[in-house]
Amino acid sequence: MNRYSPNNLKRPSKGLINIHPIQRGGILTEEARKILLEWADGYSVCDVCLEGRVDLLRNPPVDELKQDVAEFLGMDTARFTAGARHAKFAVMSAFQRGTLVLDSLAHYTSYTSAELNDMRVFEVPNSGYPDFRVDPEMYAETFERVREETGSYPDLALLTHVDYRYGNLADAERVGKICEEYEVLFVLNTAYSSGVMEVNGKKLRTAFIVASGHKSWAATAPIGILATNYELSDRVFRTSKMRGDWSGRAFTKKELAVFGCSPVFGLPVMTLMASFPGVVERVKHWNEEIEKARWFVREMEKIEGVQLIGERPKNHTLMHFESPAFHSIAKKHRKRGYFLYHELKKRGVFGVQAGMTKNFKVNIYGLSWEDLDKVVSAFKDIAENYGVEVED
Amino acid sequence: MTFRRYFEIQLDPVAVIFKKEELEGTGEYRFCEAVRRVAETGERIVLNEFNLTCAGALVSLGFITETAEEGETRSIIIEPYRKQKCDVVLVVTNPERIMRISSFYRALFDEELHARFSGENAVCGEATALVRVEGKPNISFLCPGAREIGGYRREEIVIGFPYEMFARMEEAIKREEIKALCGCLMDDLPRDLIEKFEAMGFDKATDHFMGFYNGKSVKLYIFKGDRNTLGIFTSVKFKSEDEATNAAESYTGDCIAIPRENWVEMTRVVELDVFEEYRKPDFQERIGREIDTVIEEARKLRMSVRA
Repeated sequence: MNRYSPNNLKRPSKGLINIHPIQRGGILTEEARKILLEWADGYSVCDVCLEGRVDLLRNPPVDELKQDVAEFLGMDTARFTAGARHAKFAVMSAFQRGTLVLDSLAHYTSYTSAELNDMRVFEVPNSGYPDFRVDPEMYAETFERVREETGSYPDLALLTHVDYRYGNLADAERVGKICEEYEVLFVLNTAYSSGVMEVNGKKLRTAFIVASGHKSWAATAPIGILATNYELSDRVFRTSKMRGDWSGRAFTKKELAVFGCSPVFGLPVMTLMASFPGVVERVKHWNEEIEKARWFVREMEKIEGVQLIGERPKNHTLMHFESPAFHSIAKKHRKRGYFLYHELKKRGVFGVQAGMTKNFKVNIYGLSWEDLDKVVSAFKDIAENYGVEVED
Repeated sequence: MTFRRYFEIQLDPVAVIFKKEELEGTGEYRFCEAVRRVAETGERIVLNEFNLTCAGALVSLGFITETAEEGETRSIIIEPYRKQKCDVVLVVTNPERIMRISSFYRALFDEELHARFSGENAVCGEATALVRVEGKPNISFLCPGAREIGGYRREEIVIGFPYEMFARMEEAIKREEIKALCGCLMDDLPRDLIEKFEAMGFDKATDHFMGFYNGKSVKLYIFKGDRNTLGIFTSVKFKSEDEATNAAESYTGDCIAIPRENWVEMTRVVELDVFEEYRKPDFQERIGREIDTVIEEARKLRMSVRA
């Protein structure tokens, strides 16, 4: 049991600059760090639960947070969920056995949520190498394809606002307009966008916004957000109608799609709450993050063979590089594909997936210019040490 | 973490040790029967010429030759594998587990598992003697004797490993050398199509293939649709976005020049259906010619700016 001793529970990235693609937006704010111990026990938020649902709590003010978050996203109301995946599942559970159109860069949980709800899925193709863009107009084409095959337009259209593979920022506004024209409900997965950049559902004509607290709202996992409008909230947040046939018990306030009372009872919701003012502020500085991202691309591409794939210019801090030169080194290196991971770690940089050299993803959100420079210098230094040319 | 636990195999792996001296036998068994029994109960069984009750096994395991002369083997110890030095390790399991083992094996040794079987002298010959002689693992689908008398279940088959290979696999398991990936499949390209491009020097990336062709970084991408055409890409870097845009706009060759900030992506879409054509003998040569064209056009584009 010694392996579980606190002395042995050290985080591998401790003390290093972490550029792991999924980590940057979930790093806690100082405010969230201050409340960690006080709210760390299991059901810590449930000390004064009077209404039987976490989203209705007044102390701590989860009910108010729920409304503030909804307004921040330009929506009417919201619920906290066990991650963005749960939020997607909750939406689709209200459209079981229906049809879903989604972009071909969607996260696997978009597919599995549909599968679990017996939905028929139609993909919107992407442009392929090297941009992998999702053309909004293809949503209209896919809607027509769905009508040809099923006799009616789809129930839902899901767009991954920023995809996890290339960090492309999709044109949600245009997709929203197309959905409105076709009267198809628009689900926007903002796991990599809301919380770091401005997202407004009214402007984008969304029926549902799905968000990830631990990915982009500086919160402890697992927590997601499902925001919607009052027109649809009754359908998605429908309450239990069941009655025990012997006991007569009923659970009239429990919302089915979030398991009655959403499982975010302690640090997940409390860190999201403590970080929320900081999140509201930080989205105003998104342009600076883009400036840093584009600088980072320029510097990385000074290394021979390193090239950004995905859309150009870069509109997000999550990026995907291909690096045939690093891959060639890995093929001959004693540590094979792990050499880049180890070399970066030696230089204080963590987060490029171990084993990846031919292409790798990084996220530089929230890094200071100084840290960003350290990351670039680390990559360049490794390249030079292995005889790969680096431009001045 | 042991082999058994890693692959979640119900029965113990069995160590088989050949001896040139005669040891006292334990009970009376067919070889296959003894192996199954040891795998299930964990007991130790010693077989010699006299308590081994299967004539086929006597020959295949080397107790006697095909001409009924005395062979080199005088005894065989069959016991649960506990990292002891032995000749062969036998694993009794089902096809689903063999599938997982074969995937691990390929990742570790960079070669496929092969099965040579004939339904005769199976556990003794195919999974043990053959493995010992050739130093390669083998999968046996058993023989009627094993199925009817040996106590094997309908879904069970046997894989035999040379000791060194089995020990190496256990070491790799312990050191977590072979990582399980997420299990998501990012495409549905046929394996032999991927191998075809690999043979040309390209590696599969998430969505496309990349590699060096005649020293130039080249990418291949299959545009799926009614026809599954092949896009060939190579990139030319310029000093500025303006320079790249001007170069792309003034380009008049056989490719498509797409400016992307300070890069131009030199592209050619080969009008063939990759899925229908890739097994044809001249596929590689045809694609090679197309790649040469793209590389040459990229070179011209770069030179046009220098000029």
